[in-house]
Amino acid sequence: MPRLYLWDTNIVLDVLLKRAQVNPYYEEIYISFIKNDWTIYLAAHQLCTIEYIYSKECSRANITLSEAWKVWALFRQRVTVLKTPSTHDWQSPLAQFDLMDYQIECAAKLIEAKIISRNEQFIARSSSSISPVQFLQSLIQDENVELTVPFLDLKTQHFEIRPQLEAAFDRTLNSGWYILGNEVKQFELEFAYYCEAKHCIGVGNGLEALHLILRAYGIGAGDEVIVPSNTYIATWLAASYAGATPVPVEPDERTYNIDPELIEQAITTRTKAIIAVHLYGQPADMDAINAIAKKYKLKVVEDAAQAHGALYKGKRVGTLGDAAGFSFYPGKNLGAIGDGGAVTTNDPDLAEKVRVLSNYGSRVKYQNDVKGFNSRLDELQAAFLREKLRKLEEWNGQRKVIASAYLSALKNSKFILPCVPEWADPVWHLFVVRDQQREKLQKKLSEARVATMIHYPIPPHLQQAYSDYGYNKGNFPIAERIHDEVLSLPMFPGMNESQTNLVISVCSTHEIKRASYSEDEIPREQR
Amino acid sequence: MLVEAIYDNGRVIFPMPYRFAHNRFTIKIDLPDIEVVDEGMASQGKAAEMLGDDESKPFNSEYPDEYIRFKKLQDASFGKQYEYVLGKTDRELIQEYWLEKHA
Repeated sequence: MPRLYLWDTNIVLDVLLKRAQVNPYYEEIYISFIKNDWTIYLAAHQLCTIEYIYSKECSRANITLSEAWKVWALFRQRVTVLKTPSTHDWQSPLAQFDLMDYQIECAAKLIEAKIISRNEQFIARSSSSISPVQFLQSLIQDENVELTVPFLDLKTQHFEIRPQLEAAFDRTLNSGWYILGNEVKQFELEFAYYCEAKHCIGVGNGLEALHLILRAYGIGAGDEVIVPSNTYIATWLAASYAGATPVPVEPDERTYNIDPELIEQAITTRTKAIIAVHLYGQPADMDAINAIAKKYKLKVVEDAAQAHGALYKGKRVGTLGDAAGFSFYPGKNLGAIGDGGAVTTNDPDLAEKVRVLSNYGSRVKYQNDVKGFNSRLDELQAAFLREKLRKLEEWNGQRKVIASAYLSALKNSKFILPCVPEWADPVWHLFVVRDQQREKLQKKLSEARVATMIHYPIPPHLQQAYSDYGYNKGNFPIAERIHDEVLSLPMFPGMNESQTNLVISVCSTHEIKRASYSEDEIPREQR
Repeated sequence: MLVEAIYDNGRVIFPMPYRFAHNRFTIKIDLPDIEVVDEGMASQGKAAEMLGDDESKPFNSEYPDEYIRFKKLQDASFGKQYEYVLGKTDRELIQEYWLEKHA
């Protein structure tokens, strides 16, 4: 979590007006923000004061205002404006002393920011304020602070679009309509457009998205659904929720996605659908899967919970099968600030059925055609998702840069790195390496203050939840091996170069034992 | 006058802002022995520079591009020779603002 700073009005004016006599450090402060690529936060109520004093002082110095405004406009490019909170404590000593300073402090506290100020009385009365010298001293202290790498940093990601998220919240609150309103409607249109799909239906979460698709296809008790043995349990649960039986198929050990060559042998007369998971953000081999589905008249459902924006042969996931389920769990490439999910499809009948099923089985209020569910994307999450969708391509791009740095720097290590087939353009929801000595590597990274996770430690067939299926260790050896050896390295938009380099340097010094499949099986590009 | 300051990568940072009579003058510095690695090298290194309104400070590629753009625009708008002349305080100007706006 980077340090955050709000500038008091006097510091902004020092920079704009070159006020070296009163602040000899103004240039140093401004440059340090640029060098560190830090945002300058200002509270909304400061802006009118800044503009007034700036224009007054420019007039006094006979500077053309239109010219002076260009300087202010350029400066503003590094500025993010914070709302001034409406929760006032009139009894606060600072509020009683100076209301403007109190409001600045309230805005800073919203994001736990320090305030850089030249106002000695403000500094004396505010626990958040520091002087220019204290700020410069803190930079020196920062150099000695050891770098840490979190696994994921959603807070910083949200700071980047905080004004937009606040506007989305205000918009929803003011609408007075909180379920299935305009925000959901707009998000469905925008996400369908993004996925190049004809229809999108917002639902409660990713699991519900898959479950409702299966239900809408009439899949239920006595039916079988092909699922990957190597996946998160939600894929299996979707089939179980529908009343069907999940039938696991082993993955391709290079891509970790379902192996199309093994699907046919799992098909029976009861098989109704195949759920293809785009695990870790990498598309499954959809042409091969679709060909098998066509031969046996099966539905193909994409589990795209981890792959928002990924491409298969240049085509977006979400329309590669009959329907797709997306999750907007907060940590996903497109994540809500809570739970959410969506179904995308080009099939208008399916879209209609999913929409009805998700809303108590109702087309018209209080008329229920079928026994439906309550699984709707709520207005507030849809409003947040609309804002975050605008950043998705940029954030996926940042993930690709990090993945590229990992792949390039670790190519000579004995890690099993992710294998990207030529037809895939993954979005790197997770960057997963494999090592038989995973725990040692994880410990080493942890000691270097690098957080990692395991996705996933126990395969679905060995979970207690599926103990009634009678599966034992050894039934799905490829999935089990993958689960025993995978380790997810930090990967998130906003992860900086120093953090990436720290991960690489620790991984590079790790003595790795070969993973358990033979050299011949390892993709050429990783040898 | 004896003050404690911080040496930071060739610059000296004072604990509070001072207005000096001249832009360049001699000061005596008490260097902690433990911080001096090599006296010969140090003498050939970057000369310590005092932070402040030093117009002779080189404006070169050490500055980030964004600041160079800002500085160029500021020089173009204000004139390269522009120097701020102390006038009313911010507080006085804010009071004027409120009076103008709400009188």
